[in-house]
Parts: sequence; structure tokens; C-alpha cells
Amino acid sequence: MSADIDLRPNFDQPAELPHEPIPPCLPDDHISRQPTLLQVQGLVCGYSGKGLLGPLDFHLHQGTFMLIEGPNGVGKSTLLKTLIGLIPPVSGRIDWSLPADALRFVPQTRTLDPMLPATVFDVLATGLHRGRGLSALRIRPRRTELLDALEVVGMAHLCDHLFRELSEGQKQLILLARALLGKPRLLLLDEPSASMDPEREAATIELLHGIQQQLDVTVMMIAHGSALARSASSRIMRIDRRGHIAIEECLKDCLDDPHHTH
Amino acid sequence: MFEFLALYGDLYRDPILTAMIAGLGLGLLGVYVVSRRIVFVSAALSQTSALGVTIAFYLSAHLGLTGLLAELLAPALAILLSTLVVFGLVWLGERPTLGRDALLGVAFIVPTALVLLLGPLIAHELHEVEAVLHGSAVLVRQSDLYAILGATLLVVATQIVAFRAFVFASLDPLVARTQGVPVRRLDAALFGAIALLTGLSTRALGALPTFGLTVLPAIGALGLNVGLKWVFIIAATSGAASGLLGYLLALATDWSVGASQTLVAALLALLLRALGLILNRRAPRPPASTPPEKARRA
Repeated sequence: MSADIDLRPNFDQPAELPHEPIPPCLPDDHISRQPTLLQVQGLVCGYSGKGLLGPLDFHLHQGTFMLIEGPNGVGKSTLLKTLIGLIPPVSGRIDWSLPADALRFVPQTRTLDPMLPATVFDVLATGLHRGRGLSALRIRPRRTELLDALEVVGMAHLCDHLFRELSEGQKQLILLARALLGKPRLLLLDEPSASMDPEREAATIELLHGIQQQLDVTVMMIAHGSALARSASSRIMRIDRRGHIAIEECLKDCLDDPHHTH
Repeated sequence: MFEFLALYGDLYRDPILTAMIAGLGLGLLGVYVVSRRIVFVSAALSQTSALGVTIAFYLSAHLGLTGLLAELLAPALAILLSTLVVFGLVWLGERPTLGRDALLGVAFIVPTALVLLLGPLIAHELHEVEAVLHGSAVLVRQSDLYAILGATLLVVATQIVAFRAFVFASLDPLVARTQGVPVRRLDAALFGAIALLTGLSTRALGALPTFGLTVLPAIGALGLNVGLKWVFIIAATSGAASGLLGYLLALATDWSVGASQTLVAALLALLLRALGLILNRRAPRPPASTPPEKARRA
């Protein structure tokens, strides 16, 4: 990752949404020519062997900006955690065609324990852990490297502040910066804009879109009925209250009409 | 007091050093214990270790054990029983329906009851059993000092090598797992270190100061918004200072050593919390990069 690419959101912009038009999604045919990163077949997600969601069949091409949306409690987060191996699937297959190191998960901020007085630097440094050997346990964070990552999300000035004292929106961007430290090919985000005001949400979606386009990172994101998130997506998975799933591909010019799908 | 120390320095050197080193190691591990809300783990391990030491006294008295075997039996049983509790906790961690707090309750209550039952059966060693529970200078031997020194060095070395991995596993275990960090093994290593040091410290210092030196320095240090590394350093220093000053207080006043160490640790914790409150009021708030509150409401 390089700080040369200026993706920084500008939170001082006047409150007009979105700040600037987000460039159009990649056309379907372009994405479908990209390699498949994930293939899911007959996946049923749930807990203790009881299915909550599925069966699911879908695939994810490199370069996709995939949005998962649906009401609370339908299993969106469970699906994401199942895909990355935090929860065992009830049944079905999940085939990744990229190494585990190339994938980074951005959780909701509340998963971080606020009792430990970690600074932003401390939190960000955890993003440098990768691999499974004993040597992977010891990391030597370099301040300049961490500042570069913070610079991408416009939070370098917060490096020495306590993470728990930041606003939820700031925390979420710090977690995004941490994920970028791993130089991921795929970002999985669990409601990154859930606790953000409209301005910050717009800036964050814009930032994610910029990351996807400029750093060639595939994005899979849960969002809660956000028209902005829809507008940036090239693929939308909708889950309704009964667990029914519909996957919609956005057209090339979907940003002109966020509700336009086929 | 200094004349007194000069006169009896050799006599009290080992107990004082043992208390300081144990306080340092326990204070450091205590940050994890308090921040992960597993204070009861420490209490349960102290009581379990106390049971191990009491059983060792009972066996030594009734089987006529002497020498090295008798010396090793107490710390060995203390560490064995507390390790069993730790493995039970790690095992239960994968089975959320059983509940860790239930096991901790059992690990606290049953050993306490058994120590009270075994006490009258070993009347000759009753004062030693009381010393194990409340702390005393007379229990500390040179072997205790070396054992605690070795265990503390191991804890400190482990923390230096994998500090950020331990922090990651405590701060954000979900993401740590997705990045390949062996969270379960780190937890087992952490709980194992707590069991080892608690077992040895309970034998040497007693259950009360062992629990006090684990929890109180960390409570004080966590009140300071100084960043993670400094919290661990301050907790370890405060634990060592509590061990030393508590001992000196007990010598000067003829109070119980364990109670004095615990009271000093509590006082230092209080001072650190007060200092934290003052510093936090003066510290600048993080600069806002969010739109103003009124825009949010609008």
C-alpha cells in the first residue's frame, strides 16, 4: 500500500451527498472475465448444527464490489464469519482461490475490547500479524508504515490517541487502515458505516470505492439498506426476513440510478 | 528501620526479593486478568494452589516425608491443581453452553472448603496452612525465590517476544484468528503462566497477597491513559513495589505480611486511579474529524 495514492476522505466538505460522483461500477462483462476468488456451493450457515441461512450458491470475481444487505438477524454477519472460517458451516462448500493472507476482515468496532487502553498505533500494529509460525508472533511495527496506512484514511493525526476515546466513525476508519496494512486482495467488512452520520458514510463508501478501483481490492461488505453503498456496488446480495436470497448484478451505469438492477 | 534491615538483612533478603519478583510477574499478568474480566480466574487459582499446598502439608505430616521430596511436593501440587483448572477453562472455552464462570465458582468454593476441612487434621502445621492462606515471611525459602525468579523471567521473556500477539488475542480475538494468530494457544500459554506463577507465589507468599498482587496493580495501571506498553510496565512496577513496601510495613508494624502487601497494593492502585483522573482531565481530547453534532441531528 502506498500513501502516494490519495484516497483520503474529506470530512470538511459541505454536507451534500455524495461529495463527488462516484465513478461507475466496472461493467459486468469486465468483472466476469476476472479470476474467481470464491466459489460457494450449497452453503448453509448457522450455529451448533442448526441452519440459519441458506443453502447459498454464489461466486465472487476479482474486482467485484459486493454488497450484502438485509434486515437485522437474518444472518448477514454469520454468513461473513462462516466464509472466513470463524464459524463452521452447517453444510456445503466454500472454496477460496486466494491465500488466507490475502484476505482481511474489518469487524464492527464493538468487537474490540475497550478495557485495554490501546492507542491507535497499538491497534494498527496488529494488522502486521500474518502467517501461522512462531516467527509470525513477533512483529516490529514501524511508525512510518503505520502512518502511511493512517494517511490513506485521513487519520494520521490520531496515531497516538487512545482508540477507545475516538468516535465510532473514526474507529471504523482506523480498522479499515489496519486491514489495508495486510495488502489484501479481498476486504470483508461487517457494516462499516453502521454508526456513521450520512456525511461520513458517503466519504467512507467513496474511500472504499477508491481502494477497490486504485488498489485492485475486491470488496464484500454488509450494509444496512444504504442507497450509497448500493450505488457503489457491482453485485448485491439481498437476504429477506424469511432467509430468501437474491443476487443482483448492477449495470454499468448503476450509479445514475442506484435502484437499477437486472 | 534501616538499622533493623542492616541487622536482619540476610534473614529478610530472600522473602523481600521473592515478594518483589512475584509482584512484578503477577502485576504484569494481572493486566490481562483485569482487562479480560477474568479476575475470578486468579481468585480460583489462588485457592486451588492453596489446596495443593495444604494437601502437601497433610501428606508430608502423615507419610513422614522429608528433604527434597517434601520441599517439592507443595509447589508441585499447587501448580498441578491450578494447571488442571486452567485446562478445564480452555476446554470449556470451546463449549459455551457449560459456562466458565460455573467452573471458576467450583474451583474457588471447593478448594476453600477442603482447606478448612484439612486444616484441623494437620494440627502441627496449622500455622503454616494459615500462612499459606494469608501470607507470611516464614514460608519463603531460597528454593521459592529461585522458582519464582525463573517463572517470572519466563513470563517477561514470553511477553517481550510475543507482546503484540498476546495483546491482539486479548483485544480483538476474532480478527486475530482470521490473520492466523493462534489465539487458543496464546490463551493456553497465558493461563498456564498465570497458573504457574500463582501456584509458586501461593506457596511462597500466601493466597491473599498472590490474588492482591495480581489484581490491584493492574486496576491502578489501567486507570492511566498511557498506552499499552506503559500500562504493563507500570502494573509490574507497582506489583514489585507493593511486595517490597508491604513487607517493610509488616516488619515495622508487626502486621500480617500478606495483609500489608495487599493493603499497599490497594493504596498504590488508588493513587494511580487518582492520578489517572487528574491526567485525563488535562489531556487533550482527540481532534474531531467528524461533521459537527448539529449536522448529524439535521
